[in-house]
Amino acid sequence: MSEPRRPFDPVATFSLVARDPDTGDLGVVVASRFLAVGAYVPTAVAGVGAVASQSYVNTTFGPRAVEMLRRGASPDDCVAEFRATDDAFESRQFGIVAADGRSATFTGSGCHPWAGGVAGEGFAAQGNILAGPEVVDALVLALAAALSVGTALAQPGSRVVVGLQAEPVTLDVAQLSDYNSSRAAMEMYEGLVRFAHGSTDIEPGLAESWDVSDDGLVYTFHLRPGVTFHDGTPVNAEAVKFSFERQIDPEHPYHDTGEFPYAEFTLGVIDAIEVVDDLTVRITLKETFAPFLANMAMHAAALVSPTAVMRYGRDFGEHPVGAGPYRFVSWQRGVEVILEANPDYWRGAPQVERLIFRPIIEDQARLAALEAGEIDLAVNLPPDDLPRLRQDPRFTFAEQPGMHTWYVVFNVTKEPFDDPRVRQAVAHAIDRDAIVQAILGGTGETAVNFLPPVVWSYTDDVATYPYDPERARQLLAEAGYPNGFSVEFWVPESGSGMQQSVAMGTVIQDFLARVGIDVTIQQFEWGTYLDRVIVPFEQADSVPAMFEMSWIGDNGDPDNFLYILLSGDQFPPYGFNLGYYDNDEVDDLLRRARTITDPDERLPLYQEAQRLIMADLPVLPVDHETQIVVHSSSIRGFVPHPTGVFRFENVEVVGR
Amino acid sequence: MLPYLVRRLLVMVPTLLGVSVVVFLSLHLTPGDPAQVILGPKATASSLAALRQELGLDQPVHVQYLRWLRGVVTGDWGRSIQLKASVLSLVWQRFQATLVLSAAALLIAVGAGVALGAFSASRAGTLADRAAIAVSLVGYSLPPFFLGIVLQVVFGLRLGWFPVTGMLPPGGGGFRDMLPHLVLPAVTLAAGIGALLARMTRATMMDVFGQDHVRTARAKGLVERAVTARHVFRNALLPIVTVVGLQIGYVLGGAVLVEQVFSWPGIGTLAVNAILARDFPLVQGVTLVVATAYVFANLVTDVAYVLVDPRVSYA
Repeated sequence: MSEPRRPFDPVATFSLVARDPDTGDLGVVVASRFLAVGAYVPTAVAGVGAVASQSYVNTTFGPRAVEMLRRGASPDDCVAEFRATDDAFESRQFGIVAADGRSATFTGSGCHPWAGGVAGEGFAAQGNILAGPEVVDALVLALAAALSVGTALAQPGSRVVVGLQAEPVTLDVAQLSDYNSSRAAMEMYEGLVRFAHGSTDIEPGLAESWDVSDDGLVYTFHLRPGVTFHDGTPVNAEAVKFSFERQIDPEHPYHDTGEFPYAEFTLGVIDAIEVVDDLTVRITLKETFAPFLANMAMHAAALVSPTAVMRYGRDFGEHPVGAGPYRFVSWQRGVEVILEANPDYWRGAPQVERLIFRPIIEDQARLAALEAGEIDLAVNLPPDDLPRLRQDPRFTFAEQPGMHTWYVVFNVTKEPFDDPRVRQAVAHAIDRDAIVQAILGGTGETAVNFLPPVVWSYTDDVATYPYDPERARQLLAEAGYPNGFSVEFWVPESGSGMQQSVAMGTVIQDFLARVGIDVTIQQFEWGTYLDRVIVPFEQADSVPAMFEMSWIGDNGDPDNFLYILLSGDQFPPYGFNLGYYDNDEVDDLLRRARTITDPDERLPLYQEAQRLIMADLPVLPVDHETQIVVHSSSIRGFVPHPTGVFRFENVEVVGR
Repeated sequence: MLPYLVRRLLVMVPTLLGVSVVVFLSLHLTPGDPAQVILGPKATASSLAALRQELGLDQPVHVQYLRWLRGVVTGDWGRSIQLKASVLSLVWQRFQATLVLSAAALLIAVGAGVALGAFSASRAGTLADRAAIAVSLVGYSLPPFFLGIVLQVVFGLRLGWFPVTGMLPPGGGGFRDMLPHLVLPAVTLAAGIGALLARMTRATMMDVFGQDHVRTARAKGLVERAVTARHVFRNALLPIVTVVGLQIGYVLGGAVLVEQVFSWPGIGTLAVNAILARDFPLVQGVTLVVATAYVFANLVTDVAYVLVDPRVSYA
């Protein structure tokens, strides 16, 4: 091979050849200190392909490559052809993208360091005499930020840093009761079944199949063979029995290894758990309970390694072991939780190698950390900053209408709210769209129905209450309050799911004043508040006529909203019907619906119940909070889940 | 000196007992139920009652206090209700981070504050003096959370010189990795005290400049620099040491705010969460450690007097 000609002094050059997947447009960009570089490097023909040829430029490559592509050759064919015909081939560098998206990049061993390139579906990025591979990565990232070609670039060995709102309190899945803990912990665990990505549909998890007895009382789960927990303990029927009984059986030897806030709620309907054989477990219920399978997908029904619980006891929450896609590495309190990909995960190891969860309590600081690149993903950023972030190509928004309702409870045992017309008047008097826009900055969706739209059986074919103060006054007059009335309105200072509780309460007070209802607001600290508004029917008189509340759905089943919050069977302490709404017709529908296992039969019952409820209006739904996750544009495939947990199993990090 | 130290250490005991009683009572008098906080809004009444019993919250307050006290004396500080971990290890881990931040802030404050004050005093009345006064006034007036956010935006986001959150990069690191993380929070925390020290130093030195022994020194023909260093600055040091000692309390208090703004994993963020969650054992533990640190700081200040002023001695 002869010494390559050196027509130019070596100068740094980098270029990007790309195709817009939506329009098919082709383009080449090149940057260099070399004078008039545009005359040498790029070649492009619409509908055929584009080429960037650089380093010691062979100016014939561009036109020849385009001609070959036109005749149907692939970019790789071009590389082979040039290699065979150019005796200074190892000093060349070029990238080719064909109109159909096929691509190639080549960097000869004789190019001056650092030199290299990356090619993927629809693009080729390359350069020489660069500071390092990060320049090429930055090219790809810039392209990825503009287009969606990222998936071809996934980088193994990558990591994602998540900014949490507060310090996780435990990583024991059975003890989770707040978002920050569950977001850091849930990727380590899996249950018999699980919620599908981005929805509350049920799909198989550690159980590959199950049978339900005709009366809906006995569930037999068949476990996936050969699956182990992160510590090597087999996932078997004994582990299922252990994980559940640890929580619900006070006599269980490991019951004292924690407090289990969701045990009763999730597993309370279980009567007995039998190990049939190593991979078969039979669960008998106390009564037919349609949402049982959905409960099996909830966090408290995830399986834990019995060996690890026995070994660590009460400290299992600091040494968590599950069978999920990620496994535990370390937890430094107040600093970070680190997880790593589980190479033996039965669905296959996830792409992102490491997950790091850091608590950053101040919203403003979390925003700063995201903008400075110290974290890659965050929630609950200050609403005022969201419009600016939306314009910033470095960030991508992932939004999900929440399985959440923020509502005003009317104590229907008390005058004047024992009269539905008064409740309807209040609804007409409040401009709920204005609250969502002005106070929540669009981080919520105005509620039409009490049930959030993401929960199945939702219907908007219900009575609606648009803002209409005139109608409100009229209804008040009909109910015998032409001059309005005075009422006490309780508001928590803050609280899980309560959004801007105080500001929203104040605006409601103002709207009601305009129709003659004189509202006095009483504020409470959240713990005290719950104590005072969740009280048995016998003490209904101590509960104010009107107060704020919110509910975050657990399992995507309408029963989890309608029955538990509005059935006459569910007055505290049994459930959370806090305003003591009691409508026999509704109760009957809801009771029947929870004992039928066929969703098609349940649907009309729930829809009828929704119509009755919204006509009676025992609660005034105001909005459904939208989960807004902002993440670095280098993260691909992140989909928020209605339950609020984060899933990274299908996430990839590109161009870093 | 030794009997004095022993006496001071003994006096610490009733002080700390008093602090712990006050904190214990105020926590139990404010509304809020740790069991409700732990189990969340979906807890049932029976599970709440069971948990209260398990945590001993159904006992009379004095019984709860005495039980806690017995634990502290025997080295068992209890278990955090919310974080489900040993209080002693939680508090100790986080206190180290606060100590690092506070020490760095004090160093910066003393270094910059005293230098600025001395510079000002030796050029009293000049434009430079006025500028220095203005700088210290601004530093003193800015609330730490505001200054913190400004520094984050300017030096973290715009210029990209320093990281804006945390003590170490994600994934951890060593002492060298910590230094850049330390700069912004330490400067934020130092600003107020530094400014105060600058004004103190200037005022005291101006005062000493007017005294007889300084005139004598000048009359002896000493050069001005020697007069300032040997006769003025040394004499001005005593009130400065007092102020620095008193500021240690401010630093620990201010650290709470600064730690929040910069997500510094110190005792401040721990304390705020513990109070919000009505995590009694953890709040007690944090208070005990901070109060002890405070009392020790005062002791160190008193001992420092002996070193700077030969007229002071403790029998």
